[in-house]
Amino acid sequence: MDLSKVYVLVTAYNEETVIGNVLTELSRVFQHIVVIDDCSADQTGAISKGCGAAVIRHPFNLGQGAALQTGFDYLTSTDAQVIVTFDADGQHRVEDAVSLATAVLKNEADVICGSRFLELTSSTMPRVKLIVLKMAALFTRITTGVPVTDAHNGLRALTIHAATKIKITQNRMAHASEIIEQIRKNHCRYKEYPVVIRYTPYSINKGQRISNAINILIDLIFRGISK
Amino acid sequence: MIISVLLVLTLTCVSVYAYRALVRSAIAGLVLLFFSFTAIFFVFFPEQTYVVANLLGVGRGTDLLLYVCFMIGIILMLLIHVKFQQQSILITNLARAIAIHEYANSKNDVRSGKNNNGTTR
Repeated sequence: MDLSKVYVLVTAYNEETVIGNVLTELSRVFQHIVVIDDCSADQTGAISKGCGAAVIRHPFNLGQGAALQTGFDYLTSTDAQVIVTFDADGQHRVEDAVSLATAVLKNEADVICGSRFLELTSSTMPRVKLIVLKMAALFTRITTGVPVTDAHNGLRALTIHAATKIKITQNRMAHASEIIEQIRKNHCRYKEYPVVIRYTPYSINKGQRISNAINILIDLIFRGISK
Repeated sequence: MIISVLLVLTLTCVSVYAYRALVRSAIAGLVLLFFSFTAIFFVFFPEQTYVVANLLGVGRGTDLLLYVCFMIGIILMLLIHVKFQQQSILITNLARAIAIHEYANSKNDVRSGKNNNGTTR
């Protein structure tokens, strides 16, 4: 499958220790990699440039949701057909990104999200994390009506057309549920693919803290009010 | 009484502000004007708060005042939150536009052979 019109979108904030490896692995398969550097204080931007990625740097830290939207905005001005979102902390596998991108290219769906709870078993997932993620998915299922099994997976593939429709306003972490909600609102064809998450001590430490689930919930509730 | 003078002065300031706010938003201005005039009235006739309080099923006028203040506080907080949210969306959009613009510029500079200082190599 020709992946030349697939652009990988990596949002990064202070990931200098791992992003080099992640981008090197990605660049073996994908020609186009765009890194949104969310105003990192370390060498994340410089290392990404060194790996040949296009680096767009926020003037100040805005959060992952905002970084994804910046990527979507930029990519609509390129010749991208499919966008793959990929976390910078090394928790995703490149082969999963390829299978998602290929499926979107084959027109299986407009948006395909990776799920760590289908078939494949992810290595050493902390037990508390498993429970919180299952609850988060259930919450998203109830509030959006989209049958997600893993609402907070950073690995997704979507058509450029779907990306132009999605408008993320949740700058922080509540964007994951927001994307699902907009998928439903815009009648995008949605699908999940099994993926494996590599839980390394680094990705566990960098990833969502469990306590943050409360913050996400508050963001979502307040968003409802301000509408 | 000194407190009455202070209260009336403050409330007069609020009504002047409300009058000016009328130009921007008729509803907000009128609500604020109504509240400040009512408050000035109650400063001079504090016993009248009992009448209103009893009408609403509250025992004392001072309790009514406390409840009203509490409600106004909560409403203001929510309004400020909404306003703040709108501002932060604007700021995010601005920052995003700057980021993409800067990237496009740097790409053009590389193409035209300029280095980071903007001078030609």
